[in-house]
Amino acid sequence: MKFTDNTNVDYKLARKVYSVILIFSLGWLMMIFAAPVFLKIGGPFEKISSYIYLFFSNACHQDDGRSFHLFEHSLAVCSRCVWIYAGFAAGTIFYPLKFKINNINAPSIWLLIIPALILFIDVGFDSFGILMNTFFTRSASGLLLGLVLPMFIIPGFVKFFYEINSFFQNKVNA
Amino acid sequence: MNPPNKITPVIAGTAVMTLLAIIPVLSLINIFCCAGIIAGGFVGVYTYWKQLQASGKILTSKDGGMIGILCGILSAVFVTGFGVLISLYSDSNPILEIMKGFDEMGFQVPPEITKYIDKFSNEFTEHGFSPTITIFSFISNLILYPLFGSIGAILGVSILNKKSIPKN
Repeated sequence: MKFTDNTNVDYKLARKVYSVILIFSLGWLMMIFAAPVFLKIGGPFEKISSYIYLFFSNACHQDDGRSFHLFEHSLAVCSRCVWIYAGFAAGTIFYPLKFKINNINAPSIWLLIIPALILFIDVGFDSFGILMNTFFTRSASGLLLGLVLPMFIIPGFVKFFYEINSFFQNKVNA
Repeated sequence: MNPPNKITPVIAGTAVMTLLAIIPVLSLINIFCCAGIIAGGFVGVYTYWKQLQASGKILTSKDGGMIGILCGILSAVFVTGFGVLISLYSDSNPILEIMKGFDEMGFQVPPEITKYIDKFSNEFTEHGFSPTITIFSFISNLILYPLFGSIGAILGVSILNKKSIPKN
């Protein structure tokens, strides 16, 4: 089976994939904000909060000095990561305004390379002591990358699940 | 002509993900939103794409995504296993080492985490490894690695297909 740019992907399937990505990205963001909230509530929620912090420790340095705070506790990830995930959630929400949900074509690769380069320059300059980054530069570079990621990830996953679905349908029909 | 098998790409992707997670200093790449795992997924797909080019076939998202997910599952197992092995064969308490490293790098550990760090540190002293951290790490690795691995692979498919399909 050959897939070309003109492949007509089932809208219902694409909508399901989009909904899962949207729910997942919002849930992910909620977990980040839930960690300090649960810690503030205390009691059994304190333990849940510690597991959220531990879960995100695999994906972020969680440096207190580089994190936003809520109720005097740091969020589960640093400021840059918060904005990457927030940008991703926002990009996913606004995705249907710009693209069809069953679109499987990613935009120009430069749209991904340029924000990634800006982020790496921000990290690199700070790491080598050339120019110290700030909450603003970390947040802005993170947000920019987060916003463009859904334009590549949503068509990719729609195509992925379309192909998986077609594969199993062909097996059933054979 | 049959498409090439996916064993080599999965091994390549898994190796990159695992090595980037366990080698000291290099493992710091994963604190940038699991960039090492994303890179592993990309490498797996890139290896498969190279094989496909030789056989004249097109890289599909199905194959790419599957490679990313498989690499992620295997890496999650290996990384957790390596973690347990290293802590069992090491006399030092890794929690204390990490805390010392954070102090030297100027990182401030949130006070809310400190009491849990003490609890895990006691488990290391008692058993040689922390069962709580191992179980929780394995579960979280089983979520994070296939997730970010598939994201890296899907991005790889988008990028590599754009490269190989000429514009009309």
